[in-house]
Amino acid sequence: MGRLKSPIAILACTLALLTPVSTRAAEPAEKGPVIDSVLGAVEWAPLVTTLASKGAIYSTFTEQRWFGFKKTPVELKGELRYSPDQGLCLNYTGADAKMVILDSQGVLLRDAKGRQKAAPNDAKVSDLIRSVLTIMEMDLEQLRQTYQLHGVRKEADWRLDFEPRNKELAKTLGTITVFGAQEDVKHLVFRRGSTARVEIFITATRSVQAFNADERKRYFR
Amino acid sequence: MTPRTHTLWARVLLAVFVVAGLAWVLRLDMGKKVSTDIMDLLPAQDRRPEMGIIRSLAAEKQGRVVLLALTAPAGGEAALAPATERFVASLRGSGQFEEVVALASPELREGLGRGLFERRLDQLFPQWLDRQLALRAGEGVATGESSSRWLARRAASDLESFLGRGEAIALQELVPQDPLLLLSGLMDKVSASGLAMFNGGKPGLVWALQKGYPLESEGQGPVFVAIEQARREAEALAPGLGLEWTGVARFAARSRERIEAELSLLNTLSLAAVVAVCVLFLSRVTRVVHLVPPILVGLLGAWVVTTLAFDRVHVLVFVIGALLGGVAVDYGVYLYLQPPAYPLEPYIGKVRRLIKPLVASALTTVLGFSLLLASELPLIRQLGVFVGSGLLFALAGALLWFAQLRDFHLPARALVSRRLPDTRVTRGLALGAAVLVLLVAVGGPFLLQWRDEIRELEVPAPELRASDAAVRGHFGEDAGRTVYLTRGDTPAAAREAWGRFAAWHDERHPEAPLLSLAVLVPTAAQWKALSARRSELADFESELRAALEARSFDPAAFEPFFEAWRAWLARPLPAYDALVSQGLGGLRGPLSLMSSTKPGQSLYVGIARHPFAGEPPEGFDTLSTEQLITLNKVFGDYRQSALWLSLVGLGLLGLSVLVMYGVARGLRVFAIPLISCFFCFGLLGLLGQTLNLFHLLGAFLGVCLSHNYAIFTTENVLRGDDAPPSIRLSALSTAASFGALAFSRIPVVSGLGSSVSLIVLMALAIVELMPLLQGRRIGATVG
Repeated sequence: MGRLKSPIAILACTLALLTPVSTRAAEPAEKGPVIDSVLGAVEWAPLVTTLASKGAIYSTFTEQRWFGFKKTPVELKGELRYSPDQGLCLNYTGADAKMVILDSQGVLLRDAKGRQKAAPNDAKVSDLIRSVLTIMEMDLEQLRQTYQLHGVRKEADWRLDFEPRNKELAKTLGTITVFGAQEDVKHLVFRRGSTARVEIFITATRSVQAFNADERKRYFR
Repeated sequence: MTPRTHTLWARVLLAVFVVAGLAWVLRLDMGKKVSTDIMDLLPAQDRRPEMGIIRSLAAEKQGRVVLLALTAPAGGEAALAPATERFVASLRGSGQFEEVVALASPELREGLGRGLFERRLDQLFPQWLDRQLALRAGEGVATGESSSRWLARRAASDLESFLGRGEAIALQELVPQDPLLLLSGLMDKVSASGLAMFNGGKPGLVWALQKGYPLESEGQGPVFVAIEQARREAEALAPGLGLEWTGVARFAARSRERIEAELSLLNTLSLAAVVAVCVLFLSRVTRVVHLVPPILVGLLGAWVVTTLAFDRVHVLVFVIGALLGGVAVDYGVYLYLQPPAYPLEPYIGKVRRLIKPLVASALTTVLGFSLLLASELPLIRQLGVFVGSGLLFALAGALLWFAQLRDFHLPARALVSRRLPDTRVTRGLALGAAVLVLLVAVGGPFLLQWRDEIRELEVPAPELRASDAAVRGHFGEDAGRTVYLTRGDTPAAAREAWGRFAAWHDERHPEAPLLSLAVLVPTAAQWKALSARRSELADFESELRAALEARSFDPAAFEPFFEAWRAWLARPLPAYDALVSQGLGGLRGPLSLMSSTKPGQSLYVGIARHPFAGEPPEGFDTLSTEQLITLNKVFGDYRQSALWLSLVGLGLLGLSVLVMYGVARGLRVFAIPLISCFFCFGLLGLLGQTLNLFHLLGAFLGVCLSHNYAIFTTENVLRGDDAPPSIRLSALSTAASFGALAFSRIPVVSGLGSSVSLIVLMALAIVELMPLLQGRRIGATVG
């Protein structure tokens, strides 16, 4: 529990909760051209702005982890809660239930018995969290500074690829690909190396006015 | 023999002794003979576990560690890393350090990780196997299922569960080489302890191991110079860089400076106090100088005998023993101030007249101090020899010195001989004072509190302590954690003891389990069982392949593990001690201090993330560092032993006066030191003072001194005289010289001084008031 729990999953679910998504359509198979400042402003800014303008969100997801040494993925299910004020909570349900909370104070891990531990907030982890938050904030200019962005559309479907510019970040985070349709994020893929990847499928999302006191206590710091 | 012949012999004897004594002392190598090492205060033969650990730590690297914390000025954080690198390089190049490591540097982690990975099957697999077989025994065995098959199924299931955890993604490259999750299991233990390895890699922290012994000068000055040079070089890269550092050398150097200063100051104060009292009470002040040679002869004799008797003497003996002056002066004063029995009485006649009380007092005091030779503490034994021999030489010196003087009587001023007026008022006041004294003496001691700490033997250095705490705080050492040391005569014994202690500890602190390098090695029992168990696992590879396949793993991907497994099965297992030595012997940096595998000195350091909650019970061979820092229990035991010795000594004193003076008179003589002693303890108890071993020593010395006054007074009373004027002078000079000790910054020295001066003053008061209490002038009735 001393390490950031599945930064890939955190990021993926963060993006997912920004829009209500449920189904998967035909996705662009290849990554698109680099999004420069002109192309970004014209073609992608409206989508990014829409993705960014959400409030508190509740979502369910299925996560598939692919490893080079396993033929079938490891599948996890969970719930996601996001509040612009309190941060993000990933609640993995199932036999080995656990919770990951990401906010301005860093990363907090909580098990089913309520025991919790803060991950060390050293420089490396701070950089990682900052990179993730950049995507949550969906500021196109900030994103272009942290990542080399690629985008492609195929009718209503779109695909965004995020390649960290910093080599250390690239080694830790890998590349992130987000698939969506219209204004919805449907599917995310995180790749580290050639054999391993994590895929997140968003199954249901709804906007929430605000989380009540009990939920705030249970799911956030 | 004529008086002239006596004088000649006295001169020759004195000269021979002084020349020989000085020749001996001047050729001593003080650096080797005199120690400021606190370890030399502790007995070598004490078998208690804390003493064994203390000696191990003192002899090992722990004492040579230097912790350094560099801090960047505001806005200059970016320069801290390169500045630290330069700092480390400079220290390494100085030649003063055996090892220098920046905690943020990955070399420590990588070194540990690489070593563990290479030896995972030797070091971690036996414990994994033991745990799994215990689980299997608990679950019951399926009919016909071999160990290999059960273990393989279990391993594959655990691996699948592990892949659902967040760290699986970070460790995925490791899994094909470690499907049993031996290393991951270890990381879980570290994580569960709540302790950050290497302090989380905070920048600016440097751990170093100096080459020189920190308690000697070559391990101090050159180290300080090297650190300052490194700081300057690092500051060139990061202007405004801050440096805080701590190490034994720093405390030792400060301690040495302060003790040397104390010695000079106390000697000067003591001598000045004695001379001042003499000037006040004696006529012909210039002749007071004749009191000095017997003191010097006493001190010289004490130095010679003590340095002959012991290979190494702690400097505290000389600090405390320097006050021998206040005791030794008694003999000179008594001899010099006694008026002649008749005009032109020869010196030899005077000596014959006074020799009995002089020898009685000297021998009874020496008898009392010689009992200290039975103490376990080297310091107390050395003090016993120093004071005992010093007093005998002082007596001899007084007898020989005054033999050379033409005029061997010094009249005292009238002040010395003046008695308190014998009136109803003064008798009433004396009675009141006596009742008060008895009440304090009887009731006060019950209020006494005792505590002994080794820290009370040093001059406090609060600023150094604060700096030390600040630096250790940077390194993660704070009051929120407890450090334990578990020892054994062999690595196997230490590991076994640690296992038992860890089980006991974790049951009581489940939220803060113990972390130690002991988890990196199996117990001797697990290692012994491994040979037989290995032979039962010949088919483990095939079973594991099948189990992995059944759970949709690709067995071919785990070929790196199977290669290592086959090579391990084919290799003979090393002996247990060799395993531990290979596993822990090559560790660097702070990790190298977390264990010791030396025969007779094996130990494991365990750390837990909770405040100190009391010492572990007996039977675990484990102490907390809290106990080691204060050694309170050890010194408490020594105090008990010293108390018994003192009581025996006191009894012997009492017995000796009963024999010399008969029961009735002997009891009166003995009552003076006895009441004085209990009054002193009673008063300190009422004042809420916490006493220690050295208050006890001081009381013993004070009793012996007041015993002198009692004997001298009795002898005069037997002759029909008043109490000799020398007693007033002796008591006041002793109280003054020991009172000077009360100003010492070393707590035990000031404790010693205050207890002696209180007892001596009380004894003087009793001698002064006794005639009033008896209701008749001394001399009217004898005895």
